[in-house]
Amino acid sequence: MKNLKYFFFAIAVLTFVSCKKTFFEPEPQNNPVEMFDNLWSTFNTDYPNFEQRGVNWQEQYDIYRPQVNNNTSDDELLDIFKQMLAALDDGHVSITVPNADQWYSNTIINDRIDNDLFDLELIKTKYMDDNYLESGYGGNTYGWIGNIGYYNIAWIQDNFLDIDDILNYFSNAEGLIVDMRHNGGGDFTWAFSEFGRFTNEKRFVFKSRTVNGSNPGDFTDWWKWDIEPSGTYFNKPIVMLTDRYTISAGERTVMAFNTLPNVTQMGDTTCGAIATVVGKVLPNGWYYTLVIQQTEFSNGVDYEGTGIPPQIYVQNTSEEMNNGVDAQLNAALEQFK
Amino acid sequence: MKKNQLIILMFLLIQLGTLKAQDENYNSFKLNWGMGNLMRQDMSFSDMIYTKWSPVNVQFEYNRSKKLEQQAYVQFGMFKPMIGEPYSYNSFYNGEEEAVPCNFLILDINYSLGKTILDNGKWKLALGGRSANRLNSSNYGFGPAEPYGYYYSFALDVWVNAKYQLSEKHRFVANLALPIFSYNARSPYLSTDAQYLWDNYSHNGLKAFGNYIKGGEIQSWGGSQSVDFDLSYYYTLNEKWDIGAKYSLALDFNQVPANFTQIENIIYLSVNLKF
Repeated sequence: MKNLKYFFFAIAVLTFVSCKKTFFEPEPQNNPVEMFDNLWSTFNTDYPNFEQRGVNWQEQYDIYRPQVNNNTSDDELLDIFKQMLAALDDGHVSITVPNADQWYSNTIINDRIDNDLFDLELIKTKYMDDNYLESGYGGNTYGWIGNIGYYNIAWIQDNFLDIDDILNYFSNAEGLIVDMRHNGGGDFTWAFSEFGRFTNEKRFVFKSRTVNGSNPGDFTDWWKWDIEPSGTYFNKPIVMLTDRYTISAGERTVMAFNTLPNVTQMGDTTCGAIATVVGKVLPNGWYYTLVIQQTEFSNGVDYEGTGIPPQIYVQNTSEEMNNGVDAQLNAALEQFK
Repeated sequence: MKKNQLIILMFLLIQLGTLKAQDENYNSFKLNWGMGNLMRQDMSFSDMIYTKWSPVNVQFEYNRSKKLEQQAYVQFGMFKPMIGEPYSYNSFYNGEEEAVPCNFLILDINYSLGKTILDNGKWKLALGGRSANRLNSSNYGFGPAEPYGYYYSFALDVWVNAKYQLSEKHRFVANLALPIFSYNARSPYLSTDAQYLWDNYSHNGLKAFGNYIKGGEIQSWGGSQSVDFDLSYYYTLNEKWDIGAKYSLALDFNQVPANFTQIENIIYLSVNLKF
């Protein structure tokens, strides 16, 4: 029995007292200096698009690190983080803190610039006369504008499982408007796996590579993403609308449409936040997101940062929108005349 | 393909051992429920150490004991750790959202087979092998991003089972298992990459599960280390029933593709039915 006591004691000591220091890597502590260093270092090793964003990350450190010390308040630290990350102007980079708006590095999204230049309600009421269908929990909104089919894709998720029904619905249309404006992204594989009816042949869309180590240049091999034909080919002319709020998986879906010969992209340039995003946590419970991937469209261009430009630029204005006129949609309809 | 064949061969050998043991006639069935503490640091997701106590730890255990010792058990644990406290925030895309804890699920399905090498009335010692199968399934709560993490491990362990009969009503049982090698499949470095997205391309959970496993690799102590130890005490109520308590310690370390450390301590209350 005496030996068993020692045995229990040894286990307790091993597991409850010393294991944290013995077995785990040091974790950042909940103080301003360590949190700054942790966030900066994570971007330094894991974020691969400084060049695309025109940012010298070491310079950012040199500017902002001296502003942080152990007396820095939470509000001051948050403000320093925002200033430092704003240089990236990346729609995938964000900070989340309690009881506040999520902050986005991309100025357009964060400041809601021109957010009112797209209004789905206007299209439902004025253009489709309240005669429209919805599916995918609101991810799909579609209906007729004259002889032209109108299909708004709000996000990229399992709403794409309805694509076959929607294309059947528009089987007699003269053409289709795919409205990707304000598409909030999601998981592009839903779009690609269900994209078969839009193409009559296998088409290479883009390639991507992901950071897989902490040294500069540590990437996976490039991975090629294709779309492949499946089901009855939808061979009608398509006009795709985009704007500065078309982001992430929405942009990858725009890339897929742009490989098709029967598609014209109109409107404004997309957000330019295409690559995969991941989340992280700081010791005080704040969250942030960053990008860990590079992508390259089939034409060899990396649109990260710049966004995917339309073939035909058309801008909406607040004045027109207030008068019930969606100039981008009007221009898209004109393409079919 | 050779990896898969090796794993199938391992399971077949264990099943042969099971058939051979069918002529033994002493069985018990245990139900264990316990309070556990989990500490995990998975550098693919975060450099923070997630720690949580949880009462959701259940173990069903079957034992067959005579010349050959057999033990099969299924263990399930759920932990919901969080750095900080839950809070609300406003997303441009989804409006008001809640930052929620992580959700770590752990499922162990193990089968052990050993031969008694010492039996002197008080002490009984068995040595053998164990098929140890652990499925870690995790949702990390990172506010607006909630990545999924997996760590599936299928190991062949050396297994030691020791029993000590203290008196007519009191006895102790201990198990120690150390892997010889294991077939491990883990989330990629930084939690996601193109391969991971491709694994999910079918959007079928079962296919994705199979794809994750296909992406695993055989590892030995150079890349993966684990220790499973438990110590149980039983008090005999009558010929049919025992009650007891069990302490279980599971240490799990893995270095591919990034460092993973997990320490699990659970104290169970046990009911044992003998038949």
